[in-house]
Amino acid sequence: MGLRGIVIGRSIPWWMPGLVAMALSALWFIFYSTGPIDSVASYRGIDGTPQKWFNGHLGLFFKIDMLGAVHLFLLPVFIWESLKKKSFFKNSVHLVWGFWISFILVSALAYFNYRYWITFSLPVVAIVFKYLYENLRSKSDKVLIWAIALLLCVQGFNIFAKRIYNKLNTNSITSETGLPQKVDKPVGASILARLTFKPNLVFDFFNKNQVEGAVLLNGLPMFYTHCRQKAFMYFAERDIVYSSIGKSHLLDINTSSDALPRLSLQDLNIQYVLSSSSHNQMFKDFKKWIDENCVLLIQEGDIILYRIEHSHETRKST
Amino acid sequence: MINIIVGISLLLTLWLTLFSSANLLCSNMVLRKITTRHVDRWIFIAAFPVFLSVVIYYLLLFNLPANFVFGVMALLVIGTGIFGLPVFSRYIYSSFRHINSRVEYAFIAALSFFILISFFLSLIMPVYSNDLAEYVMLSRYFIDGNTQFIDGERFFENTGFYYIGLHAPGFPLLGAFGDWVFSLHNYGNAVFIKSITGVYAALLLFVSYLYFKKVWNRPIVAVMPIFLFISSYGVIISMVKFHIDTIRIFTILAVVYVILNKNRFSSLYYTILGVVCGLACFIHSLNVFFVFILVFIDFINSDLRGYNKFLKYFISALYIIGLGGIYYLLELTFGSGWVLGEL
Repeated sequence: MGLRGIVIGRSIPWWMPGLVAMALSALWFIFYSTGPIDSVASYRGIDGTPQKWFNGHLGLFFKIDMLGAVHLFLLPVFIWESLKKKSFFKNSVHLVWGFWISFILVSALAYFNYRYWITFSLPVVAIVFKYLYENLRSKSDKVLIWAIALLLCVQGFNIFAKRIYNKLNTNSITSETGLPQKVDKPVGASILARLTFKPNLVFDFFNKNQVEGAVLLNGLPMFYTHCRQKAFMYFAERDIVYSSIGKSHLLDINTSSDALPRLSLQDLNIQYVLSSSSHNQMFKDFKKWIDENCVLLIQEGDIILYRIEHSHETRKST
Repeated sequence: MINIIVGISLLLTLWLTLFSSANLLCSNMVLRKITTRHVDRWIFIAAFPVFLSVVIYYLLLFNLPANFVFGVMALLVIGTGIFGLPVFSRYIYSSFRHINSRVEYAFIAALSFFILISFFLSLIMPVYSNDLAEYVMLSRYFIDGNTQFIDGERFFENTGFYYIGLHAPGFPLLGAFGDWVFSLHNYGNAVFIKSITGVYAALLLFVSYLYFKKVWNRPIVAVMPIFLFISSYGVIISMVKFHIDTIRIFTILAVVYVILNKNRFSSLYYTILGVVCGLACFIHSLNVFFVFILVFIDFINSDLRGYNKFLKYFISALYIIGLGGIYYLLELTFGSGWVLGEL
């Protein structure tokens, strides 16, 4: 019996969707990011055209590191079920349409954040499992279902375990003025320290002293929840600061020809900058500006507090 | 240690009274008809806190003092919750009596343990992530009586804080309600808003399990897709990291569930659809798009014809706007323009 005899009018062998899914998953490893082009995109795994498609627009199926491998089965399951005369979609075809239109919407507008793909995760898992279970009802086949499920879970937990392993082996608690250092700590203390960590030295600097001037927050709004010092939200990626007039440019980096107004540090009385080492690595122009105009005050964990040199203000005014 | 135990007890009490007061409402003549199944009842119970945040939104929109609003809501909810506790306890007990599977006991025990761990983490972990910090700031302003965000102002002069989010204030308002109650006990670390993630993660898994058990009639089969769902790193992160994801996903899947069970709800379907869609919209902007797609698809697929069809879906639309969509309408017309405008 050829492939045609298997596909049309008969149950699909359980291993066929799995085979297709495994083949598709191999593509993900082939197209995994080979190097940073854009820091933020690289962080999200969507730098480069293949990565942007596989990890971004089609992330529901191929962003296996975050979503596991189960979603890969949806495409072959959906195709096989659509070919059958008595598909289990037949009573909810309109919801299937709703699913795919929503998929296109997220794929087009919100593909950069894997969290939005998780919205589809439970329905996809339910559909895939329903397909496997309803096609393999015989007692011996149930063993095969558990074997498949176990394999998928092993893959999912393997990725999870790998991430936990990576996180536990990098820990950078620094001294007040030193550079990031790796500290080897026992696993138990490390987990609690990481769970309860907050940059207390930075918060105490503002809360326990009469400090003049506002703080420029490079994407760290948690500052507001711990300090009463006035601060302004800033996004280095596009040199945008948020103030009473809304969005405006501030530091003349990433120069843009858009119509946003421009403010100066003096306008907002900004004298400090709060950033993180990971943000500094992602935004090279901002890091360069920091190196030229600021003095490092406190570094605690990933969080770094700078003071803007007054000479910068003098240079700017002359 | 004592602080931790007291904190967990307070969280448990507040959530129990919320669910208990929702369950008491289920005994209402009308609601009894639509909460016949366990899944329906638990979706209603889980949707109630979101409905509460909509009520608080309207009261603040009409410029009632925040302390008065939160105080009255707390009294009503906790009062009815305590009053309804015997009814809720009987419901839980009768549900447990029907459990005859070790798998089910293990699953419920695991969920309970997960909630306790989640409450523990809510108490000890500081506010650190960016998105959570923004929600916490909004909720603190609501607690302090500053409702300028409700009136469309996003910049807070005293701190320089600017809310850049696009979503309706459902999540921070719910957090503000709980944290207002907690502030009476000097727990000022945004504990309740952090606990929302874990509670709705547990509800998502529990309600999904109830649904799968109804479909496959076997606990061990029902628990397998749950296990597959949580085997991915991203899902675990979304259930553990304090964020809006679990309540967002729960509310939109509630909409899908209602549409799937259209025939069962019969004449009340359009009201229920409007209510759950509105509440889903009040939690997150993305839900607005999903709701629009799902309701439109349902409209096209409907067996109704002509004027009757338009009337039914118009009623649904009124509920959607009244119970969540109104925020986006106000933002589009009088506010920042939402997704169309420059923030």
